[in-house]
Amino acid sequence: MTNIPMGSNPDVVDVHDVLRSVNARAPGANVDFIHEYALRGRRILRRFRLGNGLSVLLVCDPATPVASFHTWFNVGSCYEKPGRTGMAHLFEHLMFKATTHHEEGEYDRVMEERGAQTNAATWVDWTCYHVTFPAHGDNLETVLRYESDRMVHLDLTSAQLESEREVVCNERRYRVDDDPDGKITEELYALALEGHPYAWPTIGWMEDIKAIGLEDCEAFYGTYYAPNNATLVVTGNVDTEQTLFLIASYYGSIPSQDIPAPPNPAELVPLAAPRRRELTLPISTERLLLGFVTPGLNHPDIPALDVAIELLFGGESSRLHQDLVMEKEIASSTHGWVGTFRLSALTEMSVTLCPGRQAEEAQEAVFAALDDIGRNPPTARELEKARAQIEVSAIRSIITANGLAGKLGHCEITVGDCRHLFVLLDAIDKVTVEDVSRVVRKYFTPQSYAGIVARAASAASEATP
Amino acid sequence: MIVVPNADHPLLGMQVHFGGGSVTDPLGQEGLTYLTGQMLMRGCGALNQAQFSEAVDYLGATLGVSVGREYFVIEGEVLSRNVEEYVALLEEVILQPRFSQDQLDLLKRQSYAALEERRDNDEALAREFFFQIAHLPDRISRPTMGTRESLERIDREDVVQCAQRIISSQNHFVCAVGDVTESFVEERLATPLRGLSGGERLVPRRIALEEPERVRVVLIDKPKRTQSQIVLGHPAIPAAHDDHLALSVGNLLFGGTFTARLSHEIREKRGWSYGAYSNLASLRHQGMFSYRYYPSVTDTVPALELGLRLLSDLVSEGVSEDEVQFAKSFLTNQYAFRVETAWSRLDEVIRAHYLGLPDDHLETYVDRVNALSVDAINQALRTHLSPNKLLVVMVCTADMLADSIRALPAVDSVEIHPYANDWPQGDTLL
Repeated sequence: MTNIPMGSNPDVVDVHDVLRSVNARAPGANVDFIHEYALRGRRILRRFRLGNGLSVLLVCDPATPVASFHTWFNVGSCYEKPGRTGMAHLFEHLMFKATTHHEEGEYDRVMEERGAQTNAATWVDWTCYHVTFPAHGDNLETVLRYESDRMVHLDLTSAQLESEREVVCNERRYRVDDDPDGKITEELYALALEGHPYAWPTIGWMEDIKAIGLEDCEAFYGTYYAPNNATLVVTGNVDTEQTLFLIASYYGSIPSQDIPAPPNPAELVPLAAPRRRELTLPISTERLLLGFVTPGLNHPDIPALDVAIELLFGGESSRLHQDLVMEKEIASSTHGWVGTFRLSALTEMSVTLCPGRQAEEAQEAVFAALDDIGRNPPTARELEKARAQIEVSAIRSIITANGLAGKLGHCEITVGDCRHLFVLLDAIDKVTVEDVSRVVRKYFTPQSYAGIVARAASAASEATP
Repeated sequence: MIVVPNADHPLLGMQVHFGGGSVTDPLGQEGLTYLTGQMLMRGCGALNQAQFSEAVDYLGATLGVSVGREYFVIEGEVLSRNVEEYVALLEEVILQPRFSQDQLDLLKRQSYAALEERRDNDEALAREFFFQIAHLPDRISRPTMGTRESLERIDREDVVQCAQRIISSQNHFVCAVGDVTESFVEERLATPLRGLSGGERLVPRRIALEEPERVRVVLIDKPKRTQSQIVLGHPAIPAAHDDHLALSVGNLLFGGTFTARLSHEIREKRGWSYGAYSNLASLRHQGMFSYRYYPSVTDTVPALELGLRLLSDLVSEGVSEDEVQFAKSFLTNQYAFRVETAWSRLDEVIRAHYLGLPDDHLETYVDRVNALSVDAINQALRTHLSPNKLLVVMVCTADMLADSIRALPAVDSVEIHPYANDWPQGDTLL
């Protein structure tokens, strides 16, 4: 990543000229240029901020026929209170309802008429609304008109809340109650992070979803949905000046407001002793999910943890796939994932057992592999392999306008730097084999795990009377 | 050879498509093509499985085989800087597979486990049972991965012969996309593959399916479900049929978007399901119209009744001029996504190839959509959709629902099938 001088890239604009023009045409928005960076490839990322605190990230790419517009809010399920879990996610659903200017269903109908692809997502640290649309005509302005409107003018009713509550309850049944992986993951976070705001599921506990009232939703909206708590990301075939002018016009007059400080719970440290829970589920074979407390996405140990998990779990040549799946035939699949959270949370390791094999066998093999890598640094070739796999995944994730906007927004909200994907790739290039051993010893010990074992319900106990 | 170059990212993809697919498996040896495809990834030339997978991963690459009912594709992606080594590996996979006995034995054991695991996912289970039951008695109904019994009948010689049948000079084409040139693909991949032995192009034989004669409900009984995964539908026209575009617009208005009738009535108005969508599967020989949603146990019976009524209303009342204008706007604007990236452009070309569509299919698409009339769409709906002749497959806890579903006037029959058992294929496959 390089700071670039003006005019050294095909995406040439004089940002200061643009700024003068935009501020003259949309007085009061007070748009400020913060900085620009060359992303890998030929694209330039530019960062702006409006006077009301709204952050804007812009990457123009005239080669694509589409554009993507993301709105990222600094609020997710970790901002909730026990007894009202699921609030951020349920509210995300309600954002597609009526506003004081537009009737219910109009947003979706207008976007679909224009061929736009819309969706939203909520997680522990953030809520994201995204629209990707054909980059022609007045589509960009239409998107901005509707998106800026629903940031401040949502007009909720009890009927809308009740209907959407039912949808969310059904989503929970689909993703958790009738889904073994969803159920096991929910149990792990509750077990490992008890008392921490990452412990409850983003979709919420069923009884909490049912308890959320209209006044809860209105209070949540009034507290967190404001320009100074949001970042807009625009990527694709848009014009810098026109985009900035439209953003200034539609968002510039929305007032900022006091935003509560984000949750700042006591820093999680590795568990002092193992925590283990068993479930019985209607599954064909046993499953094991282990969680280890690891630091937030911005921590300097994350690059080495990414490499460690890649060489343990990434691809068919990974150590654990070769050991558990190909040689010992204990497992049918293995997966690992380093948490991408703002705060310390969990790195997950999961194993789906072969028929007749027990989770304890897998756990023993996983800890043996961790012990080995902790004692004996990986080879230089293994390190190179992991780096290449991580690099190709990163490239693949930013090929589309929507993919790039998603990565930039996630990094901006989670670590406060939209360039973090590229920072991370640079840092991974500097990871040494000793770093990998060190982080494995530090975070992945047999004394510091939380584990969920899912046993298969016997045919007799499952039988429908 | 199809190449869609684009140097925006230091990444490229390569695909080698072979005719055939699991529909060409011999009767009783279902899963043979699947096993053969997977065995290509279990060692080649001087490399055993572990060495081969390490070589792929080291390049920052993926390489795998996708086996479907009517396709067999070796495909993957690689960082541009490693393309030379990658192509060499790809050629070795195709020209010098090992097919070791040990790996075949291991793969079969792993496949038995995978077959069992598939029963853990209700959504996938509902789709698979629907596909199999709806396509009987055509051979395409047979499971791509086979069954434990059929896999047990397959030995190494069967796999070697299957590979010889599929991997031949007359039965393949090469695609590449991304940071690569046509001349490179021609010289380094297409030309060497012309040296494959002769063979013949495998074109699966298919029969025209008959619609169900009534509304037939099959409950796939699984204990302790909190919701029901429902798939409804029947055979439909193939992609190259004259009415396909008109029918696809009708389908779009029924359940193809978030604001379509199905989602509006089932999700938005009543909150009965997180998702509710319909699909007109575009296949070369035989299409399939289906729609699905997943209500709670409590809402299952009224949701099923409503779903049946919505289709009946669509066919009897048709769609309106306003709806058709909306659909035209949606479809013509969505065209941008079909050409957004080099990868999406390649997908479109390959799709047209498999469906037997004309070369100018994509270029004429917008004009053809805009030329459709309301009458043509409603005529296609009346001609090709049959609300009273549907197969309904539902993964649910049967004893909680069976009696209530039997009592629905629109339902003609209800069968219950244990989720852990395969659907019987019988001896009547054609």
